[in-house]
Amino acid sequence: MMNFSLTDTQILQWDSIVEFSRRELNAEIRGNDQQGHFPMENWKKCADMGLLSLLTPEAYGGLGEDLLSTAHSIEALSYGCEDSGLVHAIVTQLCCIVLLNLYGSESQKEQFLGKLSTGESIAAQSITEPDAGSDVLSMRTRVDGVGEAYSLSGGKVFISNGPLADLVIVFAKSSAGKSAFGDISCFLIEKNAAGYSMGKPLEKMGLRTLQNCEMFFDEVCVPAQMMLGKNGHGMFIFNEAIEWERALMTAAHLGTMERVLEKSVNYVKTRKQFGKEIGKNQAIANKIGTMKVNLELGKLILYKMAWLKDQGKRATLEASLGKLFVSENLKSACLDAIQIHGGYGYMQEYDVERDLRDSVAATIYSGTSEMQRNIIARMLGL
Amino acid sequence: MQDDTKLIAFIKTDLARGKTSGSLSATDDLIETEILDSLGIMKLILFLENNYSVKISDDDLTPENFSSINSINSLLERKRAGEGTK
Repeated sequence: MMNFSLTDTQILQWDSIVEFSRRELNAEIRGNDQQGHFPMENWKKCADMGLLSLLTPEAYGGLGEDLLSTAHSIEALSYGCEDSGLVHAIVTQLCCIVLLNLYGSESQKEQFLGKLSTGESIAAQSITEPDAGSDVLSMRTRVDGVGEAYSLSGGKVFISNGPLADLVIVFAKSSAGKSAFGDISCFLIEKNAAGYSMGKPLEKMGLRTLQNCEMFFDEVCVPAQMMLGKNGHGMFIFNEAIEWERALMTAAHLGTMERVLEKSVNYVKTRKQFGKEIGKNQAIANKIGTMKVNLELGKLILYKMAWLKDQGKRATLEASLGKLFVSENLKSACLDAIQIHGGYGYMQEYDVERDLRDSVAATIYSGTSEMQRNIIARMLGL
Repeated sequence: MQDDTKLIAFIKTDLARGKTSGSLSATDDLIETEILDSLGIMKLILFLENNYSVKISDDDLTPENFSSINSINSLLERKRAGEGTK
């Protein structure tokens, strides 16, 4: 039976993360956003706070939390921290930790989980290619060889955390086929691997503190022990990864949505026009009401998704429902927040415009909204 | 012996719809014909777990276990005989 009531520990954790985020993470965001600068000092503070070790088993030095508790913590982080790029970088790190924990060999876990959980090492997932976005099976990065070592060649694009990554989880194909079985495998590549290089950080519309880049693999030699999971199981690893990613990204989006709602409510209660608070106008109040409805519905689908995963069940449909609903409504909420704030909302000084720029990507990465609708339709038998 | 009526109906009406000319035999290759694409295999796993009280593990995810209706039935029979039953 589903039960989403929060424990005392979860409530304390929420308060503690929100207080920490507001106190430690919100300085210099505007400047960092303009310069596309990643706040490494804040990354380290988040690591010290335990935010990178939420999903790492206790045996490897982590907190060993379940997805529901972790999602709640990420919501709190994104509610308190106004740097969505930093939050995205943390979620990316958590997703890599999940993959290592689910599919890594004992020696891979020993080698990497500790450093990733303390933030000493940074990880990236390398999946998207110039001609293979949502159509993952069309990827061209090739892996050849069997036995002791593999050779990996190709290129990836838009990789989050890429420019900073010490460890890259790379998906590559062994043939030109498009079967879910056997064609794709997954590898761990360290930043000093011969033949591996990256482009300079990409300039983006939003999430500008998050670092993204292209990656190039020129006959990179990968020892067999650096394969993640089983040979040919890349598609299944990808399917599992994307469910976790959509859950954690949805949690981050909900935290932002709650912050934007709160900021908008505070503004409409104090801003007066024609002798009354603008929140007394139905046109404004209705926008606020819609934000609240979407926030609460989004939380329910997120918690169901997380609960399913914590039961060891699959959540393909729920992950798409949540990702689609929350990312689209985050974008709408940010646009409404600007309208509510009027001319001030359009100015950088109020920071609402940055939330809007940051929110646009949410409907694109981890599967576009159009793809989510296709997946939902397929899951319904269409 | 596994009653495969429900399984066949699911594959025909859900996974194979629009991908075959009509008939689908128990030995037809579901992978070669791309009936089991990346989302199709996830749908099939969900269907098997929800309808046959089995848990499909990573070790089960081989082409041999999913290549045809017959091979899926064999997998189900092994699972229900004791391997990893919920």
